[in-house]
Amino acid sequence: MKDKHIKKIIKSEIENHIPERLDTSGFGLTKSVTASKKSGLSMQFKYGFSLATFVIIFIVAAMFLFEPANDPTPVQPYTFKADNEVVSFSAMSTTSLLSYTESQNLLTEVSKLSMTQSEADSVVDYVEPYLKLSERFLSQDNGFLIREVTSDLLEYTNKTEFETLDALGKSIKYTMYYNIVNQDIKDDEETYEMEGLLIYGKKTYQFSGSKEIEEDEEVFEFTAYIDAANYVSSKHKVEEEETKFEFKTVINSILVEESVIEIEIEDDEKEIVLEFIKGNDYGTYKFKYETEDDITKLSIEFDVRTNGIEKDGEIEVYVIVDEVTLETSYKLIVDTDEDEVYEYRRDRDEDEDDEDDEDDEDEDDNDDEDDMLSDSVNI
Amino acid sequence: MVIKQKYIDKLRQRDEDTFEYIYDLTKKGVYIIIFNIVKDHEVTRDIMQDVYLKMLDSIGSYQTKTNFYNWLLMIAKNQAIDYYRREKKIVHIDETDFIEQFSSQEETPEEKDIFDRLLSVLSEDERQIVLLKIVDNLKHKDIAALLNMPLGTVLWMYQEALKKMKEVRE
Repeated sequence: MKDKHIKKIIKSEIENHIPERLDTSGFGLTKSVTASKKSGLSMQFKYGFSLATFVIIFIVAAMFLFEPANDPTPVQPYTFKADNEVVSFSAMSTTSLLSYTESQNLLTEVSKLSMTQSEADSVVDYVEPYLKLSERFLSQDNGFLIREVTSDLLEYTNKTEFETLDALGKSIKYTMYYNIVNQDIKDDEETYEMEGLLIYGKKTYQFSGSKEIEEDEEVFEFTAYIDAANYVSSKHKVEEEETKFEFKTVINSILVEESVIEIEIEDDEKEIVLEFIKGNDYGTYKFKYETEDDITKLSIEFDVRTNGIEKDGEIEVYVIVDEVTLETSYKLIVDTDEDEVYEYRRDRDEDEDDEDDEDDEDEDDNDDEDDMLSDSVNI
Repeated sequence: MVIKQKYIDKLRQRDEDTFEYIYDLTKKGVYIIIFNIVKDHEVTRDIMQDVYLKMLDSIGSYQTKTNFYNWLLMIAKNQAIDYYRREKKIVHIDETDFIEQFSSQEETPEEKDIFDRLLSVLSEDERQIVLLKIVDNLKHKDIAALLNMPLGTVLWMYQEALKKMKEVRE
């Protein structure tokens, strides 16, 4: 039996039996404060408002009365409006993870050994690949700005540009050149495969993608490659109850990490919930953008088990700009529920705009005191 | 699920709108917890009435900074167990009984039959995890906290449960 069908039956069978309202007559509940506006209205009516005025006020009062007193907004799945939004998100997220993987492989053994180990290290290490992805997706209230334009590469018939913002408000532009292959339309359902190039900044990745119908469900798959042995793939099934993407990271033909990202709306704001499993470690991270005193930060709740130890708490992530070099980095403040606080710095800049990115691999010893890559400071 | 303190404060004052709000947010979880123990829709609805009254009556003992939803679900679980004790029924029943007790007049025979068979292949813990995940849309980590299980166990059990249910024939 199909996943979707199972979930539908279970959900509807239970929900059909849940009472919409309880009999609260014996609960001793009191009318809400907003309801007291009623008496004010009748007083005003006494003072001779016309019928028309009364009707207007009645409507306004009704709006107050029927408005939920505490503006409740339960968590809901985020909805992509069109296929090209799904493809754009898949492209952005897989290349973001792939770019991170690529940069990690450039780390020398020396720099890895120089990392200060602490209990919070692994908490940060697992979340780090997802920072850029979250930054670029959560910064935009209305999703990506997507444009279909005429291809200027002979090998590819289609060109799509999409744009998002980072935490500093800087525009990040992605360009996809691709060919559609094996396109088919059956019963108004379109399926296709696509192959092409994705370019952002100075980076270029090959990709393949598809939209298929599996057991009546629309399934989008997308893979960004370094080569056949090194890639990140995503899979997204279109479901009403949740919007999630499954990621697989393969390095040297070995599956090294699996994760699931769920996108939802809470209090009218987008948030990303990441669940990962890597070896015996697993956990969840919940990402949200927050602005306090005009400073925007990425706020992350975490609950993970690493090296056999369970940890939970919060991480605040700030983007720090070096005023002299204009290089940027992430400052992560990890606050565990055991009241331990750690501060970390992590690289943020990519090759995309760096003029001197080729020098990055031997940079470690050249950095000034601000560059605390991989160092942790217990504050 | 985290319920903001301001709503709990209003609930202490037995504010009607806040009660409705809390009820809408929590009714699925409460229903599932009770139903998974008593396995009867009618009884579950009766116990729900008691649970929410008990919630109001004992909200003074609710400790701020603990999870309100978990606290409420604990009341639901205790009320359901109390019911069983009163009725002198046993909590664990075999699969045949289970299928019969899930019956309801409001369901179409086909759907009811599939629903019964789907849940009957699951263990009690798997059933609870599946219902909380699918019906209440709780996160795995929230289910883990609620059931006092490691997150990995919940993730694994949920996947196993889905696999088992996929093998059930329509």
